[in-house]
Amino acid sequence: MQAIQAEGLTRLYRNGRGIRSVNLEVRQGEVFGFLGPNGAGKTTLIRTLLGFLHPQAGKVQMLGLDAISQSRAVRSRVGYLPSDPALYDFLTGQQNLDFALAVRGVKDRSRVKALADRLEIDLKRRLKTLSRGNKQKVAIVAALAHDPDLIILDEPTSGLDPLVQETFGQLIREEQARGKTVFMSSHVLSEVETLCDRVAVIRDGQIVTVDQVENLKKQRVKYVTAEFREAAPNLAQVAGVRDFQADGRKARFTFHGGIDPLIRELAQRSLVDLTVADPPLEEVFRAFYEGGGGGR
Amino acid sequence: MTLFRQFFSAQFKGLLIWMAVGALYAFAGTRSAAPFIEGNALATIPPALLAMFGDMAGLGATDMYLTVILGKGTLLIPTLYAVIVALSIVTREVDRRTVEFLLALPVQRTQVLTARVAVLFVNITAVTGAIWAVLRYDMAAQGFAGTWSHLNMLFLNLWLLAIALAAITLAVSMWIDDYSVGVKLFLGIVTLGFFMEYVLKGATVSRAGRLLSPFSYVDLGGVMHSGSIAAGDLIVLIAAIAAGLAVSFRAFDRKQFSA
Repeated sequence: MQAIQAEGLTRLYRNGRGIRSVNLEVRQGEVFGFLGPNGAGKTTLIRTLLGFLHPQAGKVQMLGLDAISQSRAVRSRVGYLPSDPALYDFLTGQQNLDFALAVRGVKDRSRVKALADRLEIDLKRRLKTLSRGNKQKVAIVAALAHDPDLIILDEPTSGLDPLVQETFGQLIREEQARGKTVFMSSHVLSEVETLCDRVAVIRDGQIVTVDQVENLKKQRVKYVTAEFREAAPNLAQVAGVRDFQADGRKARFTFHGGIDPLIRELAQRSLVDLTVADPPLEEVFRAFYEGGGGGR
Repeated sequence: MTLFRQFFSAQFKGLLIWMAVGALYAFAGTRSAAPFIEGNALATIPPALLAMFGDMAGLGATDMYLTVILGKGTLLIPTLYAVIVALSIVTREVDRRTVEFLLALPVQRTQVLTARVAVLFVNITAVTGAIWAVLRYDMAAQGFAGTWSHLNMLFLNLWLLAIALAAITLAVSMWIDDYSVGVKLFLGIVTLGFFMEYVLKGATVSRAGRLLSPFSYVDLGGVMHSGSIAAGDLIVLIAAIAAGLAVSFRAFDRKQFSA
């Protein structure tokens, strides 16, 4: 049984955007990344999975249940974190969680306390007095407190500081170790690389590839700027270097693939400064699409 | 019960404010009653003006005063409140995006709406009841003898109107995702409808010509006279409630919550 199995899932808006003929299989126990630029259809797919949007075509099963006709049963086993979560501002964090757990019929609050301690949040404060990051933390607890079998996260780390992102990553890995399935959308490549086993790339509402994260990494592009003590050497012949430009002591280029050969080459030179940056996501996708992606 | 409690607590502060506003408005009316009733000041009001509140001929002074107090604006308070609560049921949740948190829980949409409609009924009853209690008991406390059973029926009529307006607002709100737009639109419609009713009555427009005027379905003078709601008004109000709720449940069940 797959955690999520979508066949020909289509949900288009009037402006033509949305998702079309999406086929997707998420295995139980894996952390599955769903990667794409803003507007590619990530949130639409998640909303369709959760029954907020009804598909115009196709079918989807989650945890062996029909996600449309058995939506309520599905949602009882799913934890969901929206991309910009909104809970009830007039309630405290604890009251929001008590409400959600009461509706779910969960009496045990031990997970709430454990998660709140891990994320260092004060659940006694009203939501409207909390920062965006702290509201996000409460929403994370709300998504995980009932110990769901499938965790759906829509751009989960937006608004979290790096330390909390690290804690969140640990939580996700622990959930996976307990046999839970995680489906997370993101437009942050590094986040997906760190957490996910497999990744689907969506573009214009269609899945263009589903692959192991390792294969995605091979397609990875870096923007490199190097400043040398002397005139910049010609690195255009180094494997993986593209779009090489030299200007006096400075060199700029993109680098594709594993970075070891480049480091070895640069180690032979006298460097003043070196910057290796992630390119804009569109550039990553362009390189990824041009590379043909991997097989399913 | 959890869904009911959650929405009731969300509405509780507003409920207290509207109950207080209604009760204070009614209290101001009852405490101004003596000069009108004992001083027979109502007799100085031009008959044409009195006629805007319905057929006042033959009513006792206290009943006539109560009718005028209600017609002067007390009537408006439960209806405005009804519209605001109705818009809070779905439109405000969509506007503030809390609807995602709510619908991600394992509940059927029908359950959510049923709990919220129950709160709507309770709260409208509470606000209408607060006004009724002040008018009924503070007038009696001052020694005025009104036809209280007729006043009770008039409040039942008013309650039905408020529920009907709430049901219609709820139904239309399924297609409105911006709360502030909804509030402006419906408060405008209700307030305009309230004043238009008197303008139309003042212009002696017939009942048939006022069919679309919601406040024409509370015949103040008529109910105070007869002690019963006109069958036609009762049928229209109940039909509006039934239709509004039926459309609301159907539309909410099918509503698509896009980003």
